Parts: sequence; structure tokens; C-alpha cells
Amino acid sequence: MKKHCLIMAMLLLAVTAAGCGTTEINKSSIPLGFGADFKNNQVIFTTQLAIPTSPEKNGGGGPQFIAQSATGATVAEAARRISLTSSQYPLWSHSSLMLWGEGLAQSDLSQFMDFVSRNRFVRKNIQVVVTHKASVEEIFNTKPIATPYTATAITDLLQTQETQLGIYTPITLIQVIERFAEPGIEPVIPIITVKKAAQGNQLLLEHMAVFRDRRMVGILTEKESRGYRFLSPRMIEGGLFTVPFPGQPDKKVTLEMSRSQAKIKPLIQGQNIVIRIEISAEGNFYEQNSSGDLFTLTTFKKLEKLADQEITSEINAAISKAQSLNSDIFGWGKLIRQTDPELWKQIGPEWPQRFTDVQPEITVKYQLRRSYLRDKSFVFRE
Amino acid sequence: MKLTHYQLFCLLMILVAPVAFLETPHTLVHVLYANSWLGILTAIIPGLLLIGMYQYIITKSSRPFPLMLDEHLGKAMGRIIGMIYIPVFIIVCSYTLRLFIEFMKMIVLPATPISIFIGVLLLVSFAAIKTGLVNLARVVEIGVPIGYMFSVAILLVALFCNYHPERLLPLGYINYWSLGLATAINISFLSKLMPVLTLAYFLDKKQQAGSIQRWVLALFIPLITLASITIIITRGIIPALTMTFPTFATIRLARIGAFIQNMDIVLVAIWILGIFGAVTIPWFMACYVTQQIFALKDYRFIAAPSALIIGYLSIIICRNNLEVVIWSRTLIPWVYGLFFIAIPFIIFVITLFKPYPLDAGSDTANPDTEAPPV
Repeated sequence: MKKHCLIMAMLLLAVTAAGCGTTEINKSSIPLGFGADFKNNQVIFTTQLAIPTSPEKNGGGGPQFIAQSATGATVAEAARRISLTSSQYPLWSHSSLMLWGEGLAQSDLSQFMDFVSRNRFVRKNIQVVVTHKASVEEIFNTKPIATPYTATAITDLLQTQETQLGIYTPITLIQVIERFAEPGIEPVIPIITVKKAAQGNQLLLEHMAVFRDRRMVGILTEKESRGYRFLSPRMIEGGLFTVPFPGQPDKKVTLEMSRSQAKIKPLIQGQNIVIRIEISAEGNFYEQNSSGDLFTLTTFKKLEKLADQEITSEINAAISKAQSLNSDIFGWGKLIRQTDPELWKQIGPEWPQRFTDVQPEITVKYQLRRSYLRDKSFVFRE
Repeated sequence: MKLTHYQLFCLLMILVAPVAFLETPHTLVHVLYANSWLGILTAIIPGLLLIGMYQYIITKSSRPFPLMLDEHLGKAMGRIIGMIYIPVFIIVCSYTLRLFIEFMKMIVLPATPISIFIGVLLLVSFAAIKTGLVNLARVVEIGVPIGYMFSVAILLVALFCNYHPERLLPLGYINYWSLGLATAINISFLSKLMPVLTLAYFLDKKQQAGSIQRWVLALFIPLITLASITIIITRGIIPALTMTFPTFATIRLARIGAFIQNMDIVLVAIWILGIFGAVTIPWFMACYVTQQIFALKDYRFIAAPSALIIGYLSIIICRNNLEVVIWSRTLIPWVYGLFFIAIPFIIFVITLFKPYPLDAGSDTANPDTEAPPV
């Protein structure tokens, strides 16, 4: 009897529990990404929705997405106002990208951060990108090259450029939330823009947005972004940079970055705070655009020295820019707070002012490891 | 437990062939250019002499290397020289491991951390030593014929896909110094057969180690000659001179029709098996020599601490691939020449004036003097 009751209960549960709290798929839409901007005291919320296509129609000429926008006094209101134009229920947790319009980034972000940190449908591991010289809607309406959806194309761009070029450091929403909430560190977010090309508009990752307190205060250029990436506390992998050809400064040698690890330590010297930065990096010889044999131990040492100088110059550029913008994007304040809490109690309140006077001591050690298929330079016949 | 003749053949083959397959044609092409393959053929006679020397030492010694050092050089000198061989085998092992790392990082999997390569290879080699030499022998029994046949086949495919025999010209246009140097380099690689001075004692009849070594030579020379000829015919001498691994670059040209290509990855898999053998046997020798020199009960427990030394040494031995190339062209041939040819030659000279041991003519090794079970 007990057995029969148990089976009946399980059957009942199987029939009733399956549909509890779920949304029918044919009544849902998949937002691939969403973003917000701020204009005329109104929040403009935009999302890119995937258009379902049947296998027969797959590969057709039209775009496989649609960008929809709505405005409202708050982010939540603007987001729900999309339901006035779209009958399907958006499954927000499928989004992989969040775009912040330039207007929003430069205004007070307090009108936005509470929404993104509180909302249970917004996954906290999605990528965050700031738009520049283009609205969120324009970005979401740009058809990417060789991939169907703009939102996924931007997340792929971020990942690919990091391993291939090593310029911009991707950042997730949870990291942004932490950096806005935690003392002694500010967020830096990659910027996406639209480039006019003969074939139509193209997406372009360009620069990084620097924040201080609640708003965007400036940008990091490509060189400064590279320098910022080197100061990341995690081990960075991938990237490419060029150094002058030894003896021919107008020619270049391309070196690959396999990995780089920064050791950053704050040192208190009287009234001064010195940040000791030790970069230990290694990589491979990738290309030379001039003739001449570089494959000797002496030349390799020279190249390593030139690489050290290049990395140091990029790091210095990033530090100078951050200090000029008065934004501790490297988290040195946080580092002092973690290593010397008593000192932080004293200097914490005036940290933004103290940050500009911090002296960096940079030591870079780049080692060339390999040279791929050749162990000599290409030699033209005499 | 004993090794069969075929197992010893496979062990010796895997000891010399995989590294030489990648390295010897590369080194010789810098010495003899278009005639580098001739430097391999001229190594036949010195190779036979080297094998004859090893076999004579085996026949004249009642105990395996390194105990034969005591027998011929006296206990004190024998022990001192025996101890020197421990770091020598460790260096050979670390260098082979480093070569494997360079190959994998530059050609096959550049993004994989070297710790993965070192860890994986050391782990399997460690397991092979811990479980005994016979298990390694069983593995190479399968690996050697497959690897050899596939290597020859893929070289032939690559050769006839890009067949430019005129690149071998001018034929025989060489100076004798370069020919001598090329022969010496080739012989130094072949001298990696030296562990036969120990392994022969694991046979039922150590006297038959000579014919096994000759079989190894008979198959080694055509393989390396074919690799060398294929590099020159398919790639040409100038590109081959600048390549880090010309053998592999040549193999990448292999294709059958227009649809079977990228066969190199199969060769990489087989080559990894070869490197496993080429790393494990010197490592086994290092452990075995340590056991014998210090009269320890077993050699297996030495594998664990020596694994750390080998792994660490393989990283610090060279800063970059240029230094690996310098090692392979200068230091390593000298190490092989000194420890695998010169010192055995001294022992050979000493044994010339010694009588045959009592068990020399018997079919089986003397139970009192034979090597411990493997």
C-alpha cells in the first residue's frame, strides 16, 4: 500500500511540478544583450533579441536579431516598457553582454547600479562594455562580420583580442559592482564604437573608460590600456607588441607575450608611498620586418632589454593617465588596505589626493623563450 | 624476469631513434648541406665498430654496468666514475625532456603551459620505472614497429608529394673535415646505445646483444638517411638551414590526394611515445646506477626524488630555444662522446688484456653475477 501511495505521489508531482514557475518557450524571447543610456532625464533601455529561424531559412540574407528600445524614469520601468511593443517574455538571464551608453556613464551611475546589482534576472558574470560616439541602439543594430549576433560578437571580440593582441582587459558585471562598492579601487571598462566602412558600419573596440566615484572621467588609449593590463594582479596570457629592431629604429620586431605576472607591493617611506611593481614576463619571437640575423644570444638579450623598456613605458603611460584622472584603477588603495589596515585608516579618507603622489618603482623582466618554426632570420640571397 | 631479444631491440631502438629522427638531420644539414645524408651512411662502419666495442665489453665482463667499472678499473675508481654517470644520465634525460617541451611548445600546442608537458611525461615515465622495466619493454614492443613503419611511410608520402631530386646536387661535393665531423656527430647520437652495457644482462644470452644492436643499426641508418634525404628534396637546403625542426616541417607537407592531409598530428602522437621511451630509459639508468653504486636494495624508490631533479633541470637547463640548439650542437655531442664512447673505449682497451670471465661461454648469465630482476 505504501509503495502504491509513493508511486502515486511521484506521478502527481511529475505532472504538476514540471510547469511551475516556467515560461513557455514559444511565448519567450531571448535577449542576447541589453544596455542603457541616459538622455533628457530619461533612461533609454535597449535590448537585442534573437529572431528564431527555422533550419530551412537559416543562412538567409536578413539580420537574425532585432534591437528594441523603450524609455522610462528608471531602468526597471524602461526595461518593462519593452513589453508594450513586444508580446514575448524576455528571458533576461540569457544575456551575455551589458552596454552602458556614454550618456549614462558620464552621468550619475547611482541610477543604474542598484538595478543591476539587485535584479535576479541579470547574471553577474556578463561582460560590461561602454559605448562611445554611438548609442546603445546603434551598436545593437550593427550587423557583425561573420557572426549572426552583435552581443555575442562583442563578447567574442573582447576574448579574442585579449589573447591575440593583449590590449583591452575584459571586465564582468560582478567585478564592476565590486570596484564601485569597495574603497581603494575604481573600474575600467572597454569601449565599443562603430566604424564607418565601405561595406557598412563595423564594430570596433577602442580605448577603455576610466571611472571615478560614480561616473566616467576619461579614457585610456591603446598604449595606456596595454600598460593597465600588465598591472593586473592575475597572470595575463597572450598578446603581441613591437620593439625597435636593434640598430635600425625605424624597423620593428614583433614579440609575443606568453604570460606575464605582476607582483605589486606598497612600501611606506616616511610620508611617501612607493608602489614597487615587478613584472615577470615571457614570450616568443614572432616576426621581424627587416633583414639581419637576430638569432644570437647577444641579440636576444638586446631584444629582451628593448621589451623591458617598451613594457615599462606602457605601464608608466597607464599610471600617469590614472594619476592625472585621479582614479585608482589599479587598486593600490585596496592593496594598502589589505596589507596595512592601520595606515589605511589614516590615509583612506584622503586616498584620491594621495594616489596622485604615489611613486611607482617598476622592474620588468621579459624573457624570450621560443621562435616557432625557424631558429634563424630569413636570409635573402646575396 | 628477463627481457626477450625483441624487447631489447625495441628498447634500444626507442632510445636512439626518436630524438635522432628530429635532431640528427637538422644538425647534419648545417655541416654537410645537400650531402648531409652521406654523413649518415659513412657512420655505418664506425657504428659497427662502436657496437663491436660494446659487445666485446659485455662479453668480457661478468657484471653489468656500472659494476663492470669496479671489475675493470678497480673498486675506488669504478665507484667514482660510476657516480659521475648518475648526473650524466639525469642530464641526458632532462635534455630529452626539454627537447620534447620545445617541440610541443613551438609546433604543436604553444598555449599549453610547460608544466603540463613536464608533469604528464614524468608521471608516465615514473609509473613505468615504478612498475619495472619489463612493462616499459611491453609498451615499446608495440610502439616501435608502429612508429617506425608510420615514420617511413609518412616520409615517403612527403617525399613524393614534393619531389625535387635535383636539390641533392652537387652530389659528393664535400670536404673531408665536414664529412668526418658529420660522421662523428651521427656516431655520438648512436652512442646512446650505451645502456646496452646494462640491459644486455637482462637477456637470457648476453652474447646475443651484439646481433640485436646490429639490427638496431640496420634500421636506424635507413630511417635517418631517409629523413635527411626527404628534408633536402622537399624543402631545399636553404630553408632547411633556418628551421628549428626541419623533419617535422617536411612531414607537414605530406598529403595523399587532395583530401588526406595534416597527417603530422598522428606522427606527433607516435613521437610522444618515442620520447616517453627516450626519457624513461636514461632515467632508469640513473636510478639503476645509483642503486648499484650505493648498494641499495631497489632502484624504484629513487624515481620519485629524481623526478623533481629531472623536471626542474629540464626547465633551467636552457633559457630559450637558441640555447637548446646550442646544447644540441655543442655540449650534448661532447657529453655523449665522452661518457658513451670515450670511457667505454678505455674499458674496452683494458678488457683487451683480460681473460674471458668464467661464465662468458655459457648460455645463461651466472646467477651470482646477473642483474637483479626487472
